[in-house]
Amino acid sequence: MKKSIVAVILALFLGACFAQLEPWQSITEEFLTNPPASAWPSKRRTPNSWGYSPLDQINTENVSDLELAWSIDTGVAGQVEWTPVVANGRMFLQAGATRIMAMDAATGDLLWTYEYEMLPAEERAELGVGGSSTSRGLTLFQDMVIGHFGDSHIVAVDAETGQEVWKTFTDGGGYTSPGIIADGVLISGNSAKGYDRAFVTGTDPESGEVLWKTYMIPGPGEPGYETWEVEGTAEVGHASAWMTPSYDPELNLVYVGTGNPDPYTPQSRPGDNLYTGSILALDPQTGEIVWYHQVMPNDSWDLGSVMETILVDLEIDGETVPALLHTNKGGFLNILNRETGEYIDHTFVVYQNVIESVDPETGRPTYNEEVIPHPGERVIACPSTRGGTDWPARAYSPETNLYYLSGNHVCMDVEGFAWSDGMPMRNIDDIRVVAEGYEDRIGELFAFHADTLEPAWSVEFELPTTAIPLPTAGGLVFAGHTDRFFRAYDAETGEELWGARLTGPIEGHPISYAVDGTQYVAVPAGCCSLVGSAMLRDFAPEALGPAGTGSIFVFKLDND
Amino acid sequence: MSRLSMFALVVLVLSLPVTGLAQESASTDENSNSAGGIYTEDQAKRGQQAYFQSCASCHGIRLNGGMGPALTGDPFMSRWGPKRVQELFDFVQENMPLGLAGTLSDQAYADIVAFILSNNGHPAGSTELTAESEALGSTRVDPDAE
Repeated sequence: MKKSIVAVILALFLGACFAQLEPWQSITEEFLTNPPASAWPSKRRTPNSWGYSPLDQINTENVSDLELAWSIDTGVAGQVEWTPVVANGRMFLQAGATRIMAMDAATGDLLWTYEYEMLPAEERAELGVGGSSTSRGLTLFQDMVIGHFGDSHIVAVDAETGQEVWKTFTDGGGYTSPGIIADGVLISGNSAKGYDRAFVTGTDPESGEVLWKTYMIPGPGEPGYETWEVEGTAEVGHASAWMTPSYDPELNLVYVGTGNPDPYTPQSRPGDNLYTGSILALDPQTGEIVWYHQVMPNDSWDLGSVMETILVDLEIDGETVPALLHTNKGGFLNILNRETGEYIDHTFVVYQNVIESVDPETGRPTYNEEVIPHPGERVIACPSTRGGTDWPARAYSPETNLYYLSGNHVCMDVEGFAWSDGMPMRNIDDIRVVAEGYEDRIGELFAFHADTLEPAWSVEFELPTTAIPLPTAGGLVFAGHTDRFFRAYDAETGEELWGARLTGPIEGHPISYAVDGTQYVAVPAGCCSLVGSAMLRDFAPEALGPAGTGSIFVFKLDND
Repeated sequence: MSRLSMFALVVLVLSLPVTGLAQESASTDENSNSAGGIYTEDQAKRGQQAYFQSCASCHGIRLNGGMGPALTGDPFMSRWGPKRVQELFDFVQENMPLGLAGTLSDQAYADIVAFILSNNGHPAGSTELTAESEALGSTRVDPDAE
């Protein structure tokens, strides 16, 4: 009798602890395409990669009342470029090389932790796969949380228990970003091995079976192979595709971006080097390349086009255009027609000196030959290999019709080395230097009019930044910075409205979600990404504190 | 792995002797003894090749840094200069290459450390550095600290 009373009391107590946790509802593709306002179920929330929250409980009038709801230290150090995802009242986070955590999104209660067992280093070295600890998010689908890992494995775990469901090895250089569900297929972009071509895979999300693998550089006999004019260069050209794709369900096209060609110096690999530095539209069922647009032919500066594409219909010259917005690592912002790949318009986001002109019909750039790295002489090329506008996600708000992103006005004092056997693929020596005239404003958060590409506003930072904008329907843009402040700005004007100082540089992706009618804003904080933190080391080491572990901070309005 | 036979067509000639890479490397002649030198010039050349294969992508061909920190100059010396070479060796072996820590041979790690020392003012001598060298514990990374 006593035992049963204790059991009842214990059950009531546990029930109280987890009373808010709703039953798990299977995540459908329709849910991912049109999620309820309360959810943030994928890296950029929706397949169009807007990174926009339609929640408006927190707005310009009350944002100053934000307070900490909960926080958690993950125990994981490294590059805190993370993105939490939220659905069914649960937050999931991939932190670092091996850890996935599930939490009650309202309370922060830890529900389960999954530890992936990465291949041993010796085996990875033998296979030529990497072991990156960079992780930028998770893919939710049905009852699964799907992680992409640095040793080229994709792993699905049960959303309610954290138990492994399936595991797939794709034999590439490794993953650093999550995949996306498109027409029932999991589309994942991989980095290239040391001497190889990168690929994108289509995987059956229910079994982990690889359905197709599309290389980002053509093979012999395939169209585009001839753009590698010297025999043998295509086979090792890389074109890594390590960012999360976007997807348009109506056109049924998946959009992926590719990185720079290897070796870094262009003298040894003449030709356009397709499909490096490109945006490609793929058929999700087959992986077939439907169209491509090469942003940077024969790139010399590691200014790749891996970054996410934002898919949005724009009013241009009185016509509605199915457009995409894309900014490469060099701050070269392009508008394309996402149905055809046709070039529409461009602008430059940060200071640059590598592109002299752009063909108004094709968008093809003409380069400044004087700043191409070569042996025997140092040149100043802008931006540096760090970007410009690197991996930190871009965002779009339908409320303001503005396109938000951050960047850095940083150049490189660079020398190239002739390629030879034994040389690293990164056969340059580059020293980061601040662009002339930008010494007191290295980093910047920008807002551009999406249709005209005219600047709307910007916030200048003395320090280099990895700010990732989160626009919301409350008229706000949240963004963190390397000075450890997480801030809210007026989405129309850029006026700063609120800020909280956290534990480390803020280089993770902020998100917003709701549970039981309460809106939350969450952001990862902690050193040490290869953009902001790395450039703090270059330009302001005194501002870079000790590299601790990454944490998640969650804010809500103070309703007391 | 394709080893790029086409690069024979490249007319640009690479010439990067170890001493050419050194910022302030002390030169040494063939007959020098090991006085003050805890590695050999041949070892530093081997170390350069191993460094190019496993380290240069992040730390730069001239050790000026990139994704990883510089391994020469003031920031490096302020952190590592006062420390024993043993600490540097252990750190490299236990942490590098990033994500593939410990995957190189002891000899390769020793060669790479020798190459780093050659770029930080340490003269070459007639005795090779090994994972067991007593010199690891008796020598500081900053040669001027000795």
